[in-house]
Amino acid sequence: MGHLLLATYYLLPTHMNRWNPIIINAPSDISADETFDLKGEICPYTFVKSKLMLEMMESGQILKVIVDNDESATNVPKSLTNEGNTVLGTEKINETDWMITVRKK
Amino acid sequence: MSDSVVVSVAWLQEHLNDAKVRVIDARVSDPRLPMGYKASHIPGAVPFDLNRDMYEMAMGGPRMKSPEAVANVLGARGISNDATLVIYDEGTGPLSGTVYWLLKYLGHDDVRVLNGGWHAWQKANAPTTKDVPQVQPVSYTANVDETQHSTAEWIQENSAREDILLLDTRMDSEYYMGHIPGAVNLSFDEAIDFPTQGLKDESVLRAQFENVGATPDKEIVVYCGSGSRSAHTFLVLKSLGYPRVRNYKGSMLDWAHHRGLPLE
Repeated sequence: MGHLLLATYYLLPTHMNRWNPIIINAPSDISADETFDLKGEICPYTFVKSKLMLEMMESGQILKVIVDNDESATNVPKSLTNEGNTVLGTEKINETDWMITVRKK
Repeated sequence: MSDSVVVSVAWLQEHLNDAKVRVIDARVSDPRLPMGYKASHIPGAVPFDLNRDMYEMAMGGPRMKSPEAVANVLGARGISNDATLVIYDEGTGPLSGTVYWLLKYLGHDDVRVLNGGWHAWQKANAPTTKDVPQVQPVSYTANVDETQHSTAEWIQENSAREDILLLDTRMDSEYYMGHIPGAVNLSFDEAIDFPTQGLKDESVLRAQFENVGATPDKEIVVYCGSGSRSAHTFLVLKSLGYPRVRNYKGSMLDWAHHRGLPLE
């Protein structure tokens, strides 16, 4: 169902898209301890699941989260920062997807 | 029984076995995460998964199920119209807020949310179980209350009224990229006390809302990207006793993407 939910985003007129995440390139030499594919998931699941994944990891470890909508690419980094983690980058990695790189507090 | 919308762990422990009290687990369900309802839950709780139980796929994208379809889900879980419902998620987050709003929209009278959610329940060493309760299916009737809901049309017809306040509950960076004309901004998570995962003190919450002009004398329309974060703010405002609050469930997805309505 999650994948179905977000399919709608790219059926919509893109010229109406006013959600523009702030792009910050993560250092290229950072490798992830975990990668979490959240394509097809919508708000609030994207930031809730990202937070839960981080809770399972050790302090200082790196998580890369993949999302495929601008709303999540904007609010996931902010939410994870609010929880005290350090967002190292938010990058557009292809036509549809974003990768958020975060270090657990 | 308390009339508070947001209840404490101690309150729920005291009332867990009351005949009228039913607990709803709105936490994330994802096989990649070893947590959630299947792993452990509050004794007697039934699960409610927004993806599966609230939405359905339709031409052009997902949409909220009909009130009757959601009512059937609730009835199958043994939830009756006169039950005192207590919702919890991981903390006091937007999942609880969305289920709270949905139930108020369906006209359910007595709906509460556990302050601090599963985080607070575990921290208090309150009892948990993996046992799935045996429920007796009942008939649940949806008595839709449109005063809990807003549409784009309703906003267009009413936004000029002096007693209306449009409240954008997204992050400030999202708000400044474009919002419904006239809206003020207060991010939904400003209401959350992160260390406890519960809500901030009532006096702090009231000051935050009043600081952006969201006073109880106004009719407040909350919105966000897709109506879940705003449902959380809907919950917070209701918990403070604000009498007139509407959640624009369609939010920016409907306003800007589907309809191309103006932004400022």
